[in-house]
Amino acid sequence: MRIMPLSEDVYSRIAAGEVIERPSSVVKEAVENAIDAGATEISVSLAEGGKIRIVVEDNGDGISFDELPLAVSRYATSKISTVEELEALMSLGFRGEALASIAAVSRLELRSRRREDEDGGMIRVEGGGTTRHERTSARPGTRVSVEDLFFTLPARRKFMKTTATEARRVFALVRDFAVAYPSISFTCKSDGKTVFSSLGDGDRESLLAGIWGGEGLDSRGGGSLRMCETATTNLKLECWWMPFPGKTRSQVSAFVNGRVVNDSLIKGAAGALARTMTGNWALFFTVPPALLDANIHPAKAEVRFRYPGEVFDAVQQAALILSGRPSSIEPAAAGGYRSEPGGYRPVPGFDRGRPRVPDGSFAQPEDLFNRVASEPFDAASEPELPPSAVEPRAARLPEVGSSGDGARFIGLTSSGYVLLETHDSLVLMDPHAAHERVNYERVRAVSDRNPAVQSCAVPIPLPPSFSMSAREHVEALSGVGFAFEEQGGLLCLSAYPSLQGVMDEDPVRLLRSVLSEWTEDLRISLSDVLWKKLATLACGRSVKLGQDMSSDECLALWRELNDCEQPWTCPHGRPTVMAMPLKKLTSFFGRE
Amino acid sequence: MKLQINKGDFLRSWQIAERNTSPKSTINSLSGVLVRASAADENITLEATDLKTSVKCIPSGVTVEREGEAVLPVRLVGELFKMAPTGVFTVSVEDGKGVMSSGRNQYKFTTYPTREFPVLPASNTATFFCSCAAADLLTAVSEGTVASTVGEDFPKYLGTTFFRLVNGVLKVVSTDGRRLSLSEFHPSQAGDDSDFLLPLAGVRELQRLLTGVDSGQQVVVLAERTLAFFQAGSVELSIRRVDAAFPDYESILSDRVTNTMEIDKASLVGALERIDVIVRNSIRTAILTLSPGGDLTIRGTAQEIGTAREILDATIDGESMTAAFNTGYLIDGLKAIEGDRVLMNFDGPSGQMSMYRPGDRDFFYMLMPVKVSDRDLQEEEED
Repeated sequence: MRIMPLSEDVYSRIAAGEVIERPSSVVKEAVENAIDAGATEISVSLAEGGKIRIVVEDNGDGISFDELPLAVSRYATSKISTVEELEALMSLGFRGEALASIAAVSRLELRSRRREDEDGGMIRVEGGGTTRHERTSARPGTRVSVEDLFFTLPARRKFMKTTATEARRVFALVRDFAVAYPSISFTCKSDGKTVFSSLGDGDRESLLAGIWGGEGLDSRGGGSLRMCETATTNLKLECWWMPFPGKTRSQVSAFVNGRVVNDSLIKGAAGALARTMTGNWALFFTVPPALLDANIHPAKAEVRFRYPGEVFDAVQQAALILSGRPSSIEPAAAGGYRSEPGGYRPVPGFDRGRPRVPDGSFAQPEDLFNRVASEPFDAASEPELPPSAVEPRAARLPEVGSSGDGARFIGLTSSGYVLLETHDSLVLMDPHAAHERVNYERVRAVSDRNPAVQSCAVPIPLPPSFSMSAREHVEALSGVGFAFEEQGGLLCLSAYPSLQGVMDEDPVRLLRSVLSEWTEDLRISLSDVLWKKLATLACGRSVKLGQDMSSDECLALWRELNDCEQPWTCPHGRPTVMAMPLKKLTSFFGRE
Repeated sequence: MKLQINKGDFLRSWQIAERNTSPKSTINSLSGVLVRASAADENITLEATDLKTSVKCIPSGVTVEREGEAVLPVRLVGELFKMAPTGVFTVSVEDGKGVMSSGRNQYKFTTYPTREFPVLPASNTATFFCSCAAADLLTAVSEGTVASTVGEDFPKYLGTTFFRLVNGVLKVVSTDGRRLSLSEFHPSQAGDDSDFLLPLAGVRELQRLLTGVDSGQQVVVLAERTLAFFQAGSVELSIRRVDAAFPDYESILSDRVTNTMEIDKASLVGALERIDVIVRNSIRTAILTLSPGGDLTIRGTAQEIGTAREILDATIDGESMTAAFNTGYLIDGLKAIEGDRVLMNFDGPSGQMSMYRPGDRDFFYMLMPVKVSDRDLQEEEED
């Protein structure tokens, strides 16, 4: 087949596909335009999560009637005009392709009026072609209405998620914009219902406290919401943190010069601190425009820093200040980079953990000991999988009889592992992991029998940060004991499962942690996520690795582990035993 | 500044101030107590704050030998005061250096700069809320905060206490979502109807303060936009208000009653505590079976641990009914009720349960049941 230039119709849709991925992409572009136009009020309305209609309305500068056709043309913009301006961007948008891209894949209507004009204008574009352009009355500002997104790209349409999921993505985006621009009032409506609104009073603290659902700062920086500012030579960071004790995952939002970014470099820096300081994070970086390249990603979701090492430095400083103690985040651990004027380099010797090999297991250094360990021992190469992935595998430990009798205790290693011999294997057992499994199954067996639900005397309104997500999964959550009711447009928690031993836990925190873990991987059953709470309890009640144990205790643990349904891993997915079949041992030594 | 201090009299006020410092604060002066000595008034004022609660008090047992002011580090100096080998000792501060002399012994320490100590809120512009006897306020605060739990982040009203003055009645209310407690009384003097929400930590400090004053001592309560003030004798405690709305609890309360039970409080608490020994590490639930004209049977089961069953005499009206409750929450409510007997109103096995003092409606504690499977209920009944 000969090489031929693509038609405009084809390449405009391909280009549009890079910029517009889903309804939230439309909202992002339209809101960025509104911000660049100096709007103080921006409203976003969705019908069916934006799949049917998206309307973004602002009170910004507006576009003159004559310029409306240009606004929907590719590579036409009022934001930059020279290459020099491209290298020092002061606006969020700059490519002049957003509206054209949206217009190429939807039915776009743009209504706008400049404050100084008497009349406004309206232009309609369908699948890239203008169908109408006329003068009309309009309020000062711009109204972008997008209908039937991807009607020209049916393949892309199939990749859109459920209405609730798409709405949640838009809601999260608008929330991020509201936090980045607290002086702008944002409203987000989904199917006529207001799901988010911000006052636009410039008070980022109250906004974050409201979104994250906690106390604000007091006048001297106390309270659960914490903030600090740090600076390096070329970069300033305003860092907000709301710790959630007991929460295992962190939510990090990052903004660079007011731009909402999902940048891998920032993720790396923030991820290092979020591992040890869990909770919600919002990082606002300010960088001289000349030291930042925002033109590297089709959706402008990533940026390139001239001095990336300073990102790590600033984040680490913030962690030190917010934790109020010497941080456990070592300089190298913060992503493995150090600040270096003019560039960055990985720190030699930084332990990035065991590298994963393509099959998902961990590569072992090639030395004799590890060769022995990785070859004859059955469980040595067990990949660390989430419990859900390992649980369904019905497995038995090396045969020792149904009661576990017949095992011989050999000893405890200096690091605390139990060495046993069964009639067909040598076994190394992690007593902590094994005891966790035993306790977990014991507790779960009881809880399975006694599903109990505590009703709330006063239904508790859920914080906006996860009420959308909860609303989306109400049915699934009801299946495990959570119950909800609507009060004044707010989703309220009216009952929650009373887990053994964690009954007194803050119900909102319980819901938040269960939901956040589950929505990360919806393939795991919700009840499994809930039972992981039990796993945490089981962990606290288990013997510790290195604890002195008698041979009787070790053998009793072995017998109980043998009676477990899933003896190979602890509830968190760590291996409990490493078994070396005697046959393999014999073979290894050439004695076969 | 130089002071002569009589240890026994002084320490009571010092400890009130000490509790309101913030020893872990990054602002050094917050981990200290500001001492202002006035020769003219012949007394000193102690001031302390953690920026959420602040306290000012005038201790007795102090003679001002030379006036001045200093911020004394609370941990170091507080311990020296408590461990002083003599009943009377002197403390002097010059140029930020402090010296404590007790008998022939001397201890030197560094003080914090007074300019770093925050200006404490003044109550002179606050509005009168009410005044009442310390004992009445203490009872209301103790009872009204039973349902509040510290450490819950959202919504903001969890972990707080609601003070509401309506038609000359002061209501103290709290909820942690699972239960609600309300205690009310008529203060000696009441201002206009108004309300405020205070953090539980601050209210607990108020409770400690009230415990230490004479029961008849009049407490004056004042409020302004961001603070509430409690003045008791020579002590003034100010607590930063929580800026949030308390839920409309009155609309939640149900009047429906299917069963009533009056019972000896101590017996019921004892039974529940024994059952809790069995169930506390399992699903912490007690199943109550009310037999009209008969007994109350309480059962607790923890699989693989054990079971418990207690039968108590009670005066029960209504149909036979079985309902399950969290033992800890039941015990909390019962212990908060003063008196020997308790009246419990039930609204079926899944509706609200409220506790009262018999013949008295100035305190109630409302709790929702735990829903357990029918199988568990039946098994218990067949047991």
